[in-house]
Order: sequence, then C-alpha cells, then structure tokens
Amino acid sequence: MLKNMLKIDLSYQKVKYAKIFTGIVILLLLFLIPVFIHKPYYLHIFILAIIYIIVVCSLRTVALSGQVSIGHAAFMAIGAYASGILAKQFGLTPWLTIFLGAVVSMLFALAIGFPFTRVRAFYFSMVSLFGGIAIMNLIRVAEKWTGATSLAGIPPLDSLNIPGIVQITFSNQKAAYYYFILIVALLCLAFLYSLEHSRIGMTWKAISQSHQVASSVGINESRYRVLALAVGCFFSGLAGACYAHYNLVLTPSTFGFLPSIYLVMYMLVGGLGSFWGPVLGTAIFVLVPEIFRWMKEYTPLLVGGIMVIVVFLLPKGMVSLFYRNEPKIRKIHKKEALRYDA
Amino acid sequence: MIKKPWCILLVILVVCAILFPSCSSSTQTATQTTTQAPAQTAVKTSSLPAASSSSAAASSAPATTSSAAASTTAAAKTLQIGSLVSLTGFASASESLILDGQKLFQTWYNNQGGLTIAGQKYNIEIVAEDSQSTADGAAAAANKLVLDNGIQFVVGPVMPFMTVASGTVTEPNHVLRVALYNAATPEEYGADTPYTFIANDCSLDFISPNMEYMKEAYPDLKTITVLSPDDGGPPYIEPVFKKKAEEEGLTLNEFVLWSLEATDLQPSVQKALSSNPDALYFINGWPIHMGSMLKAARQLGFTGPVFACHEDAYDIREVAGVENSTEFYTHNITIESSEMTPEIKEIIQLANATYGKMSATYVWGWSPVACLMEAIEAAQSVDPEVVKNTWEQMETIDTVYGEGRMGGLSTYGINHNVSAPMALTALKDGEVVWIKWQDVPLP
Amino acid sequence: MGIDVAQVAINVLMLSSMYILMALGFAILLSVLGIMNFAHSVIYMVGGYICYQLAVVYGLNQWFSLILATVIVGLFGLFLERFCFRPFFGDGNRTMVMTLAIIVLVETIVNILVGTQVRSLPAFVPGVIKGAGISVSADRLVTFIIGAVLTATMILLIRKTMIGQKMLAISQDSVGAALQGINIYKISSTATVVACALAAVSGGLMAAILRLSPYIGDTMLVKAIEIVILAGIGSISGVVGAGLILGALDSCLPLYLSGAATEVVGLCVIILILLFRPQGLFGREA
Repeated sequence: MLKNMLKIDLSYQKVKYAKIFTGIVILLLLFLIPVFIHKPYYLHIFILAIIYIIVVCSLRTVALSGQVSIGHAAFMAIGAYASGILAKQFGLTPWLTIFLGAVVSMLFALAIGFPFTRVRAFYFSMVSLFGGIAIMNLIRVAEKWTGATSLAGIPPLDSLNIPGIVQITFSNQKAAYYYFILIVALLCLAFLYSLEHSRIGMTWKAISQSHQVASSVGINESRYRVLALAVGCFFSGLAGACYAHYNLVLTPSTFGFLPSIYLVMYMLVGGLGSFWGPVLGTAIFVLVPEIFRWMKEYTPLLVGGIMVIVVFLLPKGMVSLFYRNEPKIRKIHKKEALRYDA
Repeated sequence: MIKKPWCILLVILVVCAILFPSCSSSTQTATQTTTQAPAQTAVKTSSLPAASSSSAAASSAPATTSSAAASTTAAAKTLQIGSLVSLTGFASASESLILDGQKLFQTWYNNQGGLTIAGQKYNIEIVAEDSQSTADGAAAAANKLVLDNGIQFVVGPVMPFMTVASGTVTEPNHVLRVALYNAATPEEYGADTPYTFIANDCSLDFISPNMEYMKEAYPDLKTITVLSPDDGGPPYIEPVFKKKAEEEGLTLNEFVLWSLEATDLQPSVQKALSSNPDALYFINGWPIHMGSMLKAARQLGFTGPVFACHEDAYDIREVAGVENSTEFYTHNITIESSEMTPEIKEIIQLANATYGKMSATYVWGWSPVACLMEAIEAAQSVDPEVVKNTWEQMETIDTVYGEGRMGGLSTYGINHNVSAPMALTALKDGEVVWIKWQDVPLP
Repeated sequence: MGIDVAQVAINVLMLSSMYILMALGFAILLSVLGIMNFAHSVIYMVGGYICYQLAVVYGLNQWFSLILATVIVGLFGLFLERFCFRPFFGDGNRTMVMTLAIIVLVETIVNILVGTQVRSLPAFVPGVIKGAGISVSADRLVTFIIGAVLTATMILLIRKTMIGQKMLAISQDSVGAALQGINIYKISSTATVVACALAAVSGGLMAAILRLSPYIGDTMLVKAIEIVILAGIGSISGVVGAGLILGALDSCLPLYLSGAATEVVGLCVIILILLFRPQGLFGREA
C-alpha cells in the first residue's frame, strides 16, 4: 500500500507548492525549537549539526566542479584557528574575526588552488587528503600560536546591544547561539543554492562532466575550479570560526583525517545528486549518535548499520527516498552484471 | 496531505521533537548492573543553575521506579556522580578500567551505608559518558552530563585536551570536577578553573621522589633524558624539572617530544638515547605508549633505569614484553605486596570477587571518587559550592593510599591538589617488584 | 652526536619493510580492482588479534598461529569480496562508504570484546642482535626478511604467473579483459584473498613489534595510502620504492624535528611529487 501511495504522480505545480509548503513548515519548526525544547543539551546537538551542515554543503559545492576534497575539515580548521587566534591574541571582536577567519580560509584555498588544478578527479582527492593531514600537523607545529594540543580561552561572541531594541548575551546561552547559527546557516545555504543554480553552477557541472568539452567551449577550467574551491572553503572556514567561538576550545584532532573522511561520507550517504542530500546526511549522522549516546560503546554499531543499510538499499543516498519516478529501493537479489555506473 | 515523501520528513521531525525530552529522562532509570542495590527512586537532588531555563525540571519526564523497602529506614535519594571516560578510541584501553574501578567504589560505598547528610541517606550512582578519546567527545559528554542529566559532581578526564574541552562546560555551570591527572598546563587547571580539583598525584609531583630514588639506588647516575608527549605540558614541566635536577645535582639532557598519534615510537626513543643518558624518564602517556617506548629502548641496547610517572606496571609489562621489562620504575600499586594499605587490599578482594581479576588501574579510578565523597561528607552538603569551599580549606584528606594533604597553591595558584603517598613499584626481570612508599611533596 | 649512520640506515630498512608489508595488500586491491579499501586497516588489526588469540590464549606455536591467522583472514577476504565489493563494482563512492562502515563496525566489535586489555604479542624471535655498533631487534629483522620475501613473491606472481597477468590486464582495462574471457569475479576474489592475507601477516608481525589495540589500524592506514599513492596505481614494485622513501623520511626526520613537523615535511614532499606526477612515481599515465 505504501508503494501505491509513493507512485502517485501529481502535476508539477502541485508538487512545487507542496515543496514550498513543507519548506516553510520545516523552517518554522527550526525557529521554534528553542521554544519547545528547553534542555540546553539538545540545543547543543542542533548547533553542532547545523555547523556541520554548513561544512558539508560547502564540500558539495566544491564537489560540484568534479573535485571531491577529502581534506575539507582542514579548511574548517584554518577558519577556526584564524578566528580564535585573532580574537584571543589580538582582542578583536568575534563578530569580525568570524568573517576574517572565513576570509583567511578562502585565501589559503586560493593559494593552493591553482597548483592543485593540475590534478583531477581521483588524484585531486588524494592530494587533498594529504593536504588536509599536512595542514592539521602544521597547526600542531605552530604551537606558539595554536597551543600544542588545544587552543583554549577563545572568547565567546560578544553580546549584541542595541539599546532599546534588543539585548542578547551569548555567554553560556545556548539558545542565543542556536538562533545565530541558524540564521548564518540559512544565509549560507541560500547563497550556495543560488550559486549552484546559477550560470556559475552550470559551468561547474559542465567541468565535472567533461573538462575537455568544457575547455573546448571556452570555459577556463582552472579558474572555475579555483573559484569552487575558494567558495567552498570560505563557507567551511565560516562554519569553523562559528564553531570556535561556540566551543571555546580547539583541538587539531577535531579536524584531522578521520573527520575529513566522515564529512565526505555524510555527503555520500546523504546523496550527492541533490542539494539537500548533505543536509539530510549530516543531520542523521550528527544527531543519531548523540540521541543514542546511552548505548555507550555500542553506539558506533548503529552508525555503521545505518551506513550499510543506506549503501545497499539506497544507492543514490538517503535523499533518494524523496525522489519521484525513481526506483526507490533497489532489489538486492538481482545478479549484478559488471557495469559502469556514474 | 497525500504528498507522502515530503510529509514523511515532517512527521519524522515532529516525532523527534516529541521524543527528545522523554528519550533522555527515561535513561535515568536504567541503573548500573554491577550495583547490588535494587532500583532507586531516581529523584534528582540537584537543580540546574539559574542560567539555564527553569522549565528543565518540568520537561524531564519523571519516570520513577518506586523503591521497595530496600533502603534502611527513610527513602534514600540518589546522588548522581558523572564520569567522563573514554570508552572508544585510543585511550579506551586504560580508561575503561578506570570506570570499572569507579563502579567498584559505587557498590562498596552503597553497601557501607552510603552518604548520610542531616538524616537524609544518599546512595551514589556513577553515570558514565563516553568521551571518545577526543576533545569533541569530552565536550559532548560533559554537555550531556551537566546540561541534560543535571549532574553537579563530575569525576573528570585524564588527558589534558579532554580536561580543557570539558572545562568549557563544567566551569561556567559551577559543576565540581575532580580530574584524575594534569599535565601542568594552566588551561587545564589553575586559577581559572576554580571548580576543578585534582585527586591523583600528577606530572610535577613525581619528579622529586623519582630523583631521590635515583640518587639512592643509582649513585653513579648523572644525566637524564625525558620523553614526553607533545600535549602542551612540556613548556611548563621542563623548567620545574630542570630546577629540581640542578638541586639534586643531576643533569637534564633534553626533553624529547613524541606525538600521541605516532605509529612507531622507536625513532623518538632513538633520538632520546643519542645523547647517551644514564637514565630515561617517561612523563605521561598510557601503557600502550610507555610499553612501546620501554620495548624500543631495551631493543636499542639501553640498559639503564627507566622512570615513569603513574603507569600501571602490569599493563606496561604486557605491552613491552617480559624480556624487556626490567629496571623500570613507576608509581602505582603492587598487587601482591603485603605492604599495601588495608583499603587497597580490600579493593583487591572486591575486584577479584566482582570481576575475577584485579588491575592496578582500578585503584587509580577508585581513589578520586573516594576523595570526592570524603569532601562531601566533610562539607555535609550536596551543593557543589559548599563542597568546594570546604574541600579547599581542608588540610588533610583520607585516601586509599594513606593520609593525603591538600596543596598546590604555589605551583598552580589554587589549593585544589590532593597529594597522597605513592607506591614505588618496579619491573625487574619481568617481575613486578615492590620498592617502597614514597612521600610526595606538596606541589 | 651519537647517532650512527649505520644504525639509521638499518632503522630505515626496518621501518620501510614494516610500511611496505602493510601497504602491499592495499596496493594490490587498488591496482587490480580500483578499490580504495579503507577496511584494510581493520583487517590488519583483526589479523593481529586472531594471532594473539591463537598464540597466547590457546597456546599454539606462534609461527603456526600466524599462518593460521593468515588463512582465516584470507577466507574472510572471500566473504568481503562477495558481499562488500562485488555489489558495488564501478561505483567508487559506494565502495568507500561500505569500507568505512566495515571499519566502524569491526573496530567497535573488537573494542567491546577485548578492548580493555592492553597487550602486545610476545616476540616471534626474542632478543636483540648487536654488532658493529648497530643493534636491531631480532623481530624487526625477521619482519624485514619476511617482508622482502613476500614482496618478491608478489612481484613475481604479478609478472610471471597467469593469474598475475590477468590481474594486470584487469587493472589496465577491465572491460577489455572481460572481453578476452577473463573471469573478473574469480580474479577479484583471488586478489582480495591475497590482500587480506598480506594484511593479516603484517598485523601479526606488527603486533609483536609495536602493540595491539583496536585502533592501531588508523595511523597505519594513512601511511599505507601515502605509500600506495606515491607509488602509483597499477604498480606493485613501485610500492618498494615509495616505502623506502617514506621509511627514510619517517626514520631520519624525527631525529631532528618534533613529531608533527616530520609529518608535515613528509606530506609536503609527497604532495609536491604528486603535483608534478599525479600518477605517482611508478604509476601508469592517467
């Protein structure tokens, strides 16, 4: 019966309105969460999830141009450490340093982006993997600035004081941080979404499908790839800087090899084809281990189980559950012939 | 609405929003399996600090289990004590043993009658959260314990980066934290962390006793090379070490730093041995690291003595191998020795009865919780502020190692260290050998 | 200074052989099947644990238990290939997620079962060999010898035997190889079994030299990936060269720099090489 319901084929207009309606409802729910949920612990989980959603969406932006970067957490680290050091050592206000951190991350991406355009596809992934680990170790080496294992004492966001209208303190106030990060995330996602559906986004997709054909039409492949990397790293650095001023302490291992791979995994399990895939994937993988924390050392089994189920039953990612007119759940009994799949 | 796929997401969100509050509070009734006391009334004795929302108490669904007349006379309350241990990740091998030791203490303490304050009896319950051997995990675990369970006493992490990370949660919420160790960095523990206490002897505390023993047993010993993890501690430990070495007439060659994530520690050991020291000194690390370094040192031909801080000699022997476990000194208990205090002997008996085996790390985990309960009893209150004020005024405190003293003002700027006598244990020819009790000076 | 050049050279050889042994299985799978088998680290760890279980808990002869562990893990390779690799032939993304899932699941299970016991295997050949100012533990020397023998065997296997030639053919063009009548599934099973067996051997030997814990695979995996990518896809003999380079970097640099700095230098060297020659030092042209 569920299958029948899923096969309902409605007109395009109705589906579009349904999508908009659902979007608005979800948005409303997100804004109302702190009203319903009072325990700061749950707000903490949501804040972390939203921060990682920004990072994974920016990773997808980079991946749009055919470069799957397995070292993306390192750019989050650059933004985080830059913002933290600027705020802590130089006393700048976090509202400014968050933006500066993102800019530093983008500059770094620009610096290494051009040499990296020499390598494509799989080789780019490998080079980015090593680059990510190198950046993390570089952070450890620069202990004078970053503190060997942790950069502590990062100031939280300064309070917003507009006399007469609003006064918000951020110290130890999870709800304030939640709204802040939610607004930032919505702005970032809106920007990335519009970028993806703009001419630049189309150019990226063209490059990723065939860089030779794209070059033959006059597209400067390296410029667009560096642009993708820069945009992706800007938002990753932004999210990292927000993380720094929320968490108040930074450790290099948060941004190392395994976290980078997990970011790619969140994106893949969520679904590479859709913009909302990474959002879904990240939300599931950040929220589920926290919700099921009571399983103590058995919790990773649940995460592994989800990964196995998704990879077998939903080849295009979890977001394919919402696709229309596509085979939803693939049959696992068919004998698989050797074939080239996208 | 018949557009099912989109509604599925909506429904999931709504269901989660409803399930979240009940999900966490229902876990409180699941008590630890090793306690012999039957299910207690899970009444939270502490309320969240004023900064957080006041409806927290209302939103936690009170799933209580009525206690049969199991407690003696009045209905006993439960005092929850949080425990930040790594149950997954590289540190889990040793930290799980710490948790086992704490559970032993919980059983023993409740059987002894628990805590009684002003006629109200309390049973303690250790609530452990996995800190996953990462700073993020420690912060998340601390968030869960403090903000979700509303716990006000936490027996804290061991490694510096986890201590710093969990401190960002426990300090602002005025949660009394008893760390198990510290590496002398001011971010972990110092004047900025007024609610943190240290209940085991730490990196700086072992320097003098080790050097004294060096002079006593190895009069020809002149030069020492130190191997320390790159965890932020060396800039603070090195000056103290150098100064004490000069006082004792010994020479510190250098501090060689190794990475906690290194695969093979032999190159670092080789670098340490290149200056031909008479003795090696290992500061901090777990048996998986120290054992490897001891093995590498012996295999590179070093025959001099090796001194360590607090490691479990038995675990080190497991990792280093029997043929390499010689001339190694550490400050931890010798299980077979008759010179152990009666309290330690009781722990050994309990461990063998409950787990069928004994590990020296159980005592290391037991001791901080025991000290915390001493302080709470002395303060006659379960308010962390009162306990903190009482504890820092205490001069002496009973520990399982003997009588301990409170100190630390001159070194750390805060009087929150418990200094207890430490047991010097050695590995000689693959055997764990008892040396003696050493008095640890006040930091 | 006291650092003997000869001692350093010996250390380089020993460390390289450890890395090469670990990377060999990984290289075979990457070359033949085009699969980045992240689960290699976990198989390596499980091999070590099975060897421990047989040798220490059941008391069998340690060499025999190493061979037995290799056989057991090799058989597990059949299962791995059939259910974890074959359904995802051609889809690198899903294979990657699957191997990551395997890492998570197996590490957690091993941690639950035996995680708290800190241990390492007793030495296969106890003792230290000293001579001419050099001292090297017998275990590491034995690992070096076994590593050299296995590497030579693998290279001979690929070059001289029919199966090896088929593997080469598949690695160059799998569709073309299939058209020539090569049974892709059979060859991929063989390759997986061989790779898992190699991982188990290195796990057992390494457990005696280093230590045994559920998480030893993580750091070794990064080294294996570095070596294999530096060597290049499609080149098994290149693993030797890349292993030597990495072993040299990792042995010599810690003598002068601190731990994190050696990693940075090593990785920068690798990245530079890759930027100029993305297919690796000995790999095929892309």
